[in-house]
Amino acid sequence: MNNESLYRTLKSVAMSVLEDAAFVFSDELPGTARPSIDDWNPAGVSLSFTGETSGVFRLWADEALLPVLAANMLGLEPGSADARDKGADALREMVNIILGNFLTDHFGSEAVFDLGLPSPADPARAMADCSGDSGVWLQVEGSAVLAILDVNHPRAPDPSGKAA
Amino acid sequence: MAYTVMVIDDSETIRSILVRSLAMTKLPIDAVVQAANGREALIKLREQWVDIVFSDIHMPEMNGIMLVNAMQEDPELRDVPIIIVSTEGSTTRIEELKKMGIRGYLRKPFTPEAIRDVIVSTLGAWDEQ
Repeated sequence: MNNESLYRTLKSVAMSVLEDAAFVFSDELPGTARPSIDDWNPAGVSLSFTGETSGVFRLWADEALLPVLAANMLGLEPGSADARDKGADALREMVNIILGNFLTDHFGSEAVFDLGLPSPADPARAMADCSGDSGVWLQVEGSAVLAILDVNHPRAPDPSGKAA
Repeated sequence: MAYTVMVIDDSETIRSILVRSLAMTKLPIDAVVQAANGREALIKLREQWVDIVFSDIHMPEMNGIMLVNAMQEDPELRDVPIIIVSTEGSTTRIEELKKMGIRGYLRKPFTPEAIRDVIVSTLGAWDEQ
């Protein structure tokens, strides 16, 4: 499988969903600006999928970003207790929307997938994900975000799809 | 005439977004009933009249597909229009759901305009029956 194509689509979809659903703009985070796991304590959400292919999607984000997502998605006062309380759910829903849109964009509109339920990512995975070579690093509102996709049996993307 | 809308999603965030978006449609919506999964939705649907249902697919306890089946099998509920709200864009899945009886499909992220359009097209046709 062409991982470069996969991550190109994932980056495009993640940035688009963050903008459309959470009204935040993002840029690719250069390697020199990426945090090391030693001084990064991100919140992580994991979501599995099965169907034409199967795998797991993980999204790691600065804790500080979660209330921003919640505030923007729900029209709450930034910095409010309500926004802080709903931050984790907002991140779970972002994972859901990003993965769902990615699977269609990358594998085509006829492919059928079943998504699991978003759950907290195993903190033990954070180190491996952060130090690995794959994944999409984004800078969102000054916070680092890392999107990782582990595909079990990858197949080529739909050539007529919307892959970036 | 004001409508009663039901929104079903295990994510409180999405339910809140749907409620806000429904308010932004400026449609005559009298009440919004919320449920976190299909099982809870069925209980509430049997307790009160609902004009239209917006439901996610992937939920714990009873998912959206199971809910559609359950509503189709219940004479009291089979004519209540269901709109699926999901992240998936599979045309195969959408066609399967339409054959099962859903009246529309909204892909996340959605806009208030898209919600308004689906309510008008669905309940407008509903009113003509």
